[in-house]
Amino acid sequence: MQIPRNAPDRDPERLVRDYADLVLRVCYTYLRSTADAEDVCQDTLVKLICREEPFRDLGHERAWVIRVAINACRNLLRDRGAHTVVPLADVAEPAAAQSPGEDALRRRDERVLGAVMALPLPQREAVYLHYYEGYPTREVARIVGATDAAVRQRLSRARASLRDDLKGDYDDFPA
Amino acid sequence: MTSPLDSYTASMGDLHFSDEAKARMTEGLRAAADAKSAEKNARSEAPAEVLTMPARPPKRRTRRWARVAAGLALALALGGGGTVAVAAGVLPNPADVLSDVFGGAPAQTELLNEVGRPIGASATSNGVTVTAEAVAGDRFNYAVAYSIEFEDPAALEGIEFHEGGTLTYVGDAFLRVDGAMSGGGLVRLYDADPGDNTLQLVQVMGIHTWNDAGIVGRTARFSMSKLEIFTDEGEFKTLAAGDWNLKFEMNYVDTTVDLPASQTTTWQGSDVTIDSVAVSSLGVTVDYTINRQTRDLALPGEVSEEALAEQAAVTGLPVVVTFADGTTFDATDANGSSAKHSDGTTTVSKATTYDRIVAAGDVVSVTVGDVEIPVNTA
Repeated sequence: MQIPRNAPDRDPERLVRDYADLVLRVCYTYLRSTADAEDVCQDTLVKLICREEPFRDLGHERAWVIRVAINACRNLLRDRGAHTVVPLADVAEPAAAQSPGEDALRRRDERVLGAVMALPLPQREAVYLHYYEGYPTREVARIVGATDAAVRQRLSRARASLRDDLKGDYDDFPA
Repeated sequence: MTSPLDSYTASMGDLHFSDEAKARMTEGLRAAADAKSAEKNARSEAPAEVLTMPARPPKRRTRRWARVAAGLALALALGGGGTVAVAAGVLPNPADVLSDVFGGAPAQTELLNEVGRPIGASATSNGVTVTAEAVAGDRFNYAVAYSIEFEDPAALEGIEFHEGGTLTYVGDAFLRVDGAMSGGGLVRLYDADPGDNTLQLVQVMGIHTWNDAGIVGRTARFSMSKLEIFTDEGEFKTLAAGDWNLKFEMNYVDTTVDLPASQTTTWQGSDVTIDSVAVSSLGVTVDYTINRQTRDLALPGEVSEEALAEQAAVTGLPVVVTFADGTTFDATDANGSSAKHSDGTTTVSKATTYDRIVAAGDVVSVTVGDVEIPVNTA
């Protein structure tokens, strides 16, 4: 098998460094919980290590990891039928010591995160992949198995919902 | 002001596994890798496939910043100033940027006076490398210059260029700025130096954010799947097809200059008060209030001559920008909006980008109706 020139290595330490937190965010986006994230991450990266075909480059590898993690989350959702919601504050690392004024900003960030997490799953995954991971809509479409137009519509609806939900929330915060 | 999506990305960025959990996963993966390796060895007497390959260091590309800047006429006082890094943090690892920029951090953008210079924002596909070379902008518009370098030295042979090395651009290059909406602008494609294998692409776009915050410091994401031109023979010609994605920070110095306002004039017999005028290296915006309103004369889809005349009597106030070389730009028919008020007046806003990019100091004046407003950028 010919290995592409830019094929990334499969060093376990690098894979965990590069993808563990990404899979955690995928889990949180899909499951609204991170309780199963370590298992999903382990399974995803083991699949990566065992995969015979090399990746073209890091971008190819990253998109593959996201897709596999998403599939794992969808399977979990299907198996459960319902899922437990665990607040982000219960599972995330403790935040660094905050200076005065940061409390208000943090509360606002939590309100925004809550609003995003309240979106329907198709919108939530589009927001995550587009705004956090930075994929253009056609790449998002490829990852989630939808059309570009559908992804754009989901993003548009998500923005409209957020604008409604968070109206007035941003008036009293300086840049 | 930050947008909710900035808050969202910040919150998501805070989410991470503990070091202990990562150590556990690393150990688990090592065990899986060893098991996989042992299985392979058992299956075949041939040496196991090497799974770990050293990553190739990315090729450092020679910057052609100076030539691109000159070609664009981005003569924004480039000489004399030192380079000032405005973005916080350290330079991203070039491997993260050059191998697949969408997988890593956005390329940092340094400032050379008013113009931002993205560092390492580059993507290669099918032998063609697209690099974001320069970013300029104001409160309402941005301009980004890219170089498009062809590995094949013959790639540009046989192409009929227009005067000045320009080409009629057709393509799907798209730039999106996080948390902002773009609309109205121009894209230019040209060859600044016939002696090399590189074309230059410039995007100038109007932009607005939902809370009127600026876009400086936000992440811009460029994507393109084909570069086509429309030939003089009336045919489409594909110069390159592939998949180019790159992202960088929109860092530039806002060159917007707010000019004195509150002058009064008349337009077609109606009193006009100039509310605000702003110019920059990219465009002009004018807001005014006119003591007149249009009547609702037209049904949807039917615009009579009378209705057009009524509209022109409100929104047709001439706006002309004069540059240092004596040339002018007519912004009378700029993108605009108007709002009627209960006191019988209408407020009108006009905003547009020029058909060129100039140094902020090269805008001499803006004439609104018969009121000439000099520009002093000093």
